Amino acid sequence: MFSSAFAQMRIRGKVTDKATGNPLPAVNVYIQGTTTGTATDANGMYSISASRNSVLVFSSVGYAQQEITVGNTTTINVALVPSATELGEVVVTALGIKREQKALGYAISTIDSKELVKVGSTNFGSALYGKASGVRISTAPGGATSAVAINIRGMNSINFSSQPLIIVDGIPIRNGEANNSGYWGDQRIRGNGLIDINPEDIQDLSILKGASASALYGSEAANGVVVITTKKGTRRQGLGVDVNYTYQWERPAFSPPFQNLYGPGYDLATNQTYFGADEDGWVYEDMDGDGTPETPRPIYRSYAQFGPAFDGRQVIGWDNKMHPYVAQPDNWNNLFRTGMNSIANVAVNKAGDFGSFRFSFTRNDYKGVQRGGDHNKNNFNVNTTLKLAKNLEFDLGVNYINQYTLNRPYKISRITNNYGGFLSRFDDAQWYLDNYQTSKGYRFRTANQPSATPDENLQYNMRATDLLDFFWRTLAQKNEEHSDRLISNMTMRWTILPGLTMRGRIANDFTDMTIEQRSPNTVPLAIGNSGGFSMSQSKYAITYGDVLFSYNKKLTDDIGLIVNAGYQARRETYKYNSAGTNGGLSTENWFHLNASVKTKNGNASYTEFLKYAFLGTASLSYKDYFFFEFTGRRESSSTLPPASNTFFYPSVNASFLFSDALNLPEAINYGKLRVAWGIVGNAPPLYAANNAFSQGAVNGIVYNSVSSSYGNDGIRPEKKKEFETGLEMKFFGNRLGFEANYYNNRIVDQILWLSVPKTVGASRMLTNIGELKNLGFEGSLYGTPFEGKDFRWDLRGNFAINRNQVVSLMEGVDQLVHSNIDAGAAMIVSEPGKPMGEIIAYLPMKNDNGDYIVDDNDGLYQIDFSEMKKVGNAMPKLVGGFGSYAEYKHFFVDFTIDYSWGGDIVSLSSQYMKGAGMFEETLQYRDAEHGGLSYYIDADGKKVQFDGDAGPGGEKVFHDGLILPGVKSDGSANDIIVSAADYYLNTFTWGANPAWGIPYSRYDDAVRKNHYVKFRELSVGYNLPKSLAQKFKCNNIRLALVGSNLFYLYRTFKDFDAETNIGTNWVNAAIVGGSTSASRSLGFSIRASF
Amino acid sequence: MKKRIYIFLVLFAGAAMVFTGCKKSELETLYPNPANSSTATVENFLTGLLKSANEVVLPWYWRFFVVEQPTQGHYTQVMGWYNSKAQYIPPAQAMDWRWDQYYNGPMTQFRVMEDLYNNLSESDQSDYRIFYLAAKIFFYDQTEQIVDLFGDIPWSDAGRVRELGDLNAALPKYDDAKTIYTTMMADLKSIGDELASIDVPAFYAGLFQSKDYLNDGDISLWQKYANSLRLRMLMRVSGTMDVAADIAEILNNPGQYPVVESNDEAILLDAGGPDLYATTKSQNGGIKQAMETWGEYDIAPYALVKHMVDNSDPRLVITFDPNVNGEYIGMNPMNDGTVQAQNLNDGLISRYDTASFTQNDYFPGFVITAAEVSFMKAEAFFKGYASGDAKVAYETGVEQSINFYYDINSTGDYREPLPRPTADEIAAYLAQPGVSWDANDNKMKLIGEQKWINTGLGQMPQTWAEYRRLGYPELEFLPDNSSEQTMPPSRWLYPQSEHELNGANYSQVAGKDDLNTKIFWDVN
Repeated sequence: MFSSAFAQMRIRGKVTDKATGNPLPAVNVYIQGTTTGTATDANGMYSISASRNSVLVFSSVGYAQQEITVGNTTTINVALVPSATELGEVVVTALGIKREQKALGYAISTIDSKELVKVGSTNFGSALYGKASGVRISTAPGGATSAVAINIRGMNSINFSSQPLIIVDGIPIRNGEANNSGYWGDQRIRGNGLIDINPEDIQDLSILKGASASALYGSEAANGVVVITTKKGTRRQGLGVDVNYTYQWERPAFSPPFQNLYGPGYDLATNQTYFGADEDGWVYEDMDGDGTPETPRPIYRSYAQFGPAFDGRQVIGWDNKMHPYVAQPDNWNNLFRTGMNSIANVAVNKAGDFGSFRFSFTRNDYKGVQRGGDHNKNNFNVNTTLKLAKNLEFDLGVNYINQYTLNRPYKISRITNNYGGFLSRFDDAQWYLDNYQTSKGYRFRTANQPSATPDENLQYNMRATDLLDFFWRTLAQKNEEHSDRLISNMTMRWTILPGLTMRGRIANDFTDMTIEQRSPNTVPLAIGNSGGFSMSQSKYAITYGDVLFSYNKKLTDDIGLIVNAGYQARRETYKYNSAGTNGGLSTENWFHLNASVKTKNGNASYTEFLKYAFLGTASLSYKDYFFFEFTGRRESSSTLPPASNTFFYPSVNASFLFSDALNLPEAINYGKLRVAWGIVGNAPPLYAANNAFSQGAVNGIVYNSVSSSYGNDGIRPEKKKEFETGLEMKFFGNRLGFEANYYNNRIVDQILWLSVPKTVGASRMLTNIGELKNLGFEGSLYGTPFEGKDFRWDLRGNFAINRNQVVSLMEGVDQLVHSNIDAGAAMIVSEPGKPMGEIIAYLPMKNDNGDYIVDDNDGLYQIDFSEMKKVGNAMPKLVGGFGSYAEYKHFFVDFTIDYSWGGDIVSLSSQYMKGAGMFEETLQYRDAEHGGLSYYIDADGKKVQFDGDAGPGGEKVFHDGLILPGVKSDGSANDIIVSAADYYLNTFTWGANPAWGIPYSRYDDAVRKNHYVKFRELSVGYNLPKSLAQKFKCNNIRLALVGSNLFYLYRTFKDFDAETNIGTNWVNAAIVGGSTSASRSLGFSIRASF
Repeated sequence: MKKRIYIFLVLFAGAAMVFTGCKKSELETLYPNPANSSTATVENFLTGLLKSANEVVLPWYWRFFVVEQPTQGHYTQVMGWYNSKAQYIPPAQAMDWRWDQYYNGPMTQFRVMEDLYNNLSESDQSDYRIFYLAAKIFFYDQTEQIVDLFGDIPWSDAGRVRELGDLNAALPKYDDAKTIYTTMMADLKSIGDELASIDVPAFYAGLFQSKDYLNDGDISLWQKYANSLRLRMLMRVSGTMDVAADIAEILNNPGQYPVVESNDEAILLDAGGPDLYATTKSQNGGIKQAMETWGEYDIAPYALVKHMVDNSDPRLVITFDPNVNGEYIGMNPMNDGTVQAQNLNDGLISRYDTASFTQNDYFPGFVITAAEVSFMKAEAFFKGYASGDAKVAYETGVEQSINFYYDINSTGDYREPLPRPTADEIAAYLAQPGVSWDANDNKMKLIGEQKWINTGLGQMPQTWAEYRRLGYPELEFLPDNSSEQTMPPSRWLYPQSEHELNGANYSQVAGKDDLNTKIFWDVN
């Protein structure tokens, strides 16, 4: 192998960018077959000793590698070609098969590692905002620990999984859905598997969007595939060392637009009848003990804020202390804290004839804005390649992730979506922090509850006990998660003959997670049993193996053939067990099962599934400008009924490189037209199809029953058939480029839980019945408008338009209800002929002239309860992003904006808070200044419009009246005065049902347009000059101020952050609020390489 | 070198195959959900059937909050409520839930059990006979309640999708309510005959005992349950059908057709305290949550309290708590809603008794009480369907009811139970002008009122059915002129799902699907 010692000589030269002519620093220059190498300096200059017959290799990220034999010359200048122009650019496609970009007949978005680490995102998902066309990201608030949803090209399933398959170095990894909506289930915001993948270890990321691109993954690829390739060692002089550090502060952001003029209180009648308040809403207490109440207090029990105006007078607080009666404008934000996120990463790498290795360690410390939480994560990544022989390579990749999470963010729905948790405008957040537990560490007690410290009991019947409880749960209770995850893969590549290779791979993804819940005793044992302790353990394991033969042959000078054939198998198991105390802790705060008062609780379960497939591809190329490919996958799965558990997924695609085939003007550097068609599947969830008996025990008596869900032993996977075509072009020396795609898909055999009449003996049956279609355009444009010696400006933008339509549901069913909100007050439904996710609600009644009809007694709009009408749709119409990178000398500014247009969200928090008079907009009509009418109330209780200081009989004059525009039942104009409190409390409240005494409530206002343009990421920085960097023994150092989730340039929904939803399911994403506070991050980052 | 490489390759490939190796048969093994059982037994299904109706037998919050308080509790005035708009239109949520509960619960479970039973060998069928008979009795009891609410229902064809495996074939027709009653009454007669002479092998009797948590395997109690249930159905239809002979057959042959005769024999579902609530329900909390936590469902109703006060009913002090002034006053249904709210807020309205009801973890589920049977006898004797002393039966019923409620009071641990009334005190009550058999000409009014007090809020479906059939007690309602339904309805409406999903069959009964259509036995 090693050449004999020829005479060494000094070679010098300059490396430049072929496109711009600028010198290129930090280009690796090494002698092929040796470890001898150097790198170019800031001026692109290098010098190296080499022999005549040695081959110099020049390589740099973003450029095509060049190899030059030394020969006789001692000066070798090299112009490197940016890899975008390099026709041989290679992308990783399905199953780790590498293909030339130009040969691909389908759309694939690739994202470079640099894009993912710019602002210190804790996971690659949230770093993807706005960066790939047709890819919509939604992250639940809660930062490093919360799930990230990725939706590619709209919706592909009405009911089931919407998340793409995540492939890391060829291995499908655990991702999963994380949905917790509703009040009774899990209250903590969970994560999903993809957030464990460290952006620092990602070399590049490809998103396979269409059916043809992902057909090789079969039944899990209907939602697209994210293919991640991790970083490997690179050939360089010495050991490459990278050190990166990012620190960010997180602040609660986008808090609701609260009003700060009025404190707690209901409407006049309620205040007086139920609370004995005076006409202004004050209740008086006897504080000096003379038997006459003299000290005012507002009605603490009120969730509504229609009480007295803030005037600064001294009042009794619910904490039984005197406070000035003033608003607390910051009380919402003060419920939270300033969080932090620190990411430190160090990586070493090396490559040579032995192969390559890279080792990386990342430490992430995170404290979200929710009090009480803490999280840290250690991520170890090793990637090695060993050249065992000339024709045999062995790869070993190991990723070990060790995490600790204390008190994952707890849902705040009990504060935002529940009157029992409403913080009044008068409440100081600190009062809650001071009172959620007693001085002895027990849970707060209300007035008459037995207590160890009766004088600390809440004296008044106050409203937001659920907020006190929230602090008890998030601060006093401890929920600790320990998780260890090991993702490893071993790959062997054997070149059997020239052109014929075999690859074998074994991999696993194993997670072990334990959760310990410590709930302290809420009361002394003398009062009652309380508290609890539980431990649970989950183990997830994916075992994966594949073998792939590849054959690559030039059939003639013009015709090339590539054939791949292989086998793939995957087994997933999940095991869970838990045990906990029952009935409380028998010794206070002794957290052990042995403290259980009653028989301990225990539970254990397991699931397992297996999939395997035979697959193959055949590609033909003609003259390197026409390419045709066929793929096929025959897959068998244990999640499908044994009688029909094997399915075939084919695809075909072709591309035509017309820039090579035709004589085009010089301005066009690259042009490709492509077309593709394919089928992928979406299997039913594990065990959903299976029919069996339930077995349980009631007080020790074993029983059998059947559930009301009836499976289906004939179920088939949902099938997505997609056609797509696209055009890619580059112009002006690659200064400008675009890509445009059109796609059109039909998802047939939708698996639906068919509602059946209960009288048949079930309430639903799993059925292949619905059909869905999407069509869309997506495009991206990138360019470098300016480029000079010191200045460079890059722009990138993308958009995606998706039109979704439910073609059919089951016969006889014209509506599928996805979410029944507040006992039927509003619904999210799908109806044939319309896009998925129609939002419907009851609207006020109008007469034939289009006038609203008011109730003749109450003066409020009558609601038409005969029919629910469309008030919105949950699907966004247009999503995309825009980015800019500008550098001047050593300074640079980079930002990313993402946007979404069309689509509505349901904000229940807005409904309840608006009705409660929390928001600024509810000031309207409350006083003369805000348009309120003046009136007095006559002896019959009728409101009479009146200007003056006192009514004719000396009645008090109120100024919070309004007359709703509309007509009475006889057609005459409405002249009934209602008070602002009556209007808001009755119009925007929980539920809408006259039978329950909620006849005037309307939910159309809770459905809001969700257009936004968000300034998502910003990075402003400085690259240290090479000379300065070298003083620190570094090749380069980059300092930056970074920020993410910064602000909205435009938004139509302003009550909350529209992204404060929970879960990866589209229905949950359409319902905002209740997760936890959104936050904004600002910090700095240092990146250095040695 | 080469050799070693091949060895490595072979080892790697071998390891890979062992690691991921899979057989086609394994796909099949992994298909079923390990959490479910692929086999089931008749005996386990008996327990499953009983359990499937726990939530309509025992009181708990959903049954009260959503289903019964706004409807039957209101129409019979055994619960206090606020007058409001549209108050006589039963909420769809209540009607749908009760319907779905029956079909997903007892109907489906019974059909699957019946299918399992029918597939047993002949000798096994004979051994398991008692399980099947008990299941039928219980299923008929549940069915009767649904017929009483809706009238015609899908029945003989219903619940068979698992058996038939095809949805369209499983869409059931509606059976005529009267036919369902007739079928059940005839079958209960043959069950009664069979139970009179059944010989259960000891092993199966033991198994039955371990699975039957309603009557703890006491076959004689099942016999009494079956006969009493048949008697209840006969009495209910007695105004529209000539069933006197059948009634006489039961009441004149206590040897062949014994019925529930004493409080010891009452068919009750034991609530078993806070623990049983937690293990048998999806929502624990039992009657506590039903009456307190989820709103004010302990408000005393006006007429019931008044009847008790006017007649110095010994049950008053264990049924209601007094108001702030120490008086017993219920919520007046003739007052405006705001006045009612004001009165309640001022503490002027009595509440259901804390010890017997709202805080009693042992409040049982009523299935058939001795007093109910005695009142049926009283009516049968009075109307001459069978021979016996109506007065004795009536007075026995009153005494049984008083003792029954004192039994319930004694199970509570909220406060010390009150002592039972003495025989003299009961006799004094029986002499009250509104109670005395002899002092009143309108015997049916007496019986109706006592039945109403007896089933009360513990068994609202029976309370409402008998109120509709007898027209007693005489109750006043504030007409709701805001709605087309100005007065309480006579039945419930079929759920929307039947219109949409079982439309062809539904169309046959659509004409009768009105709130004011009377159930066939409702001649009043």
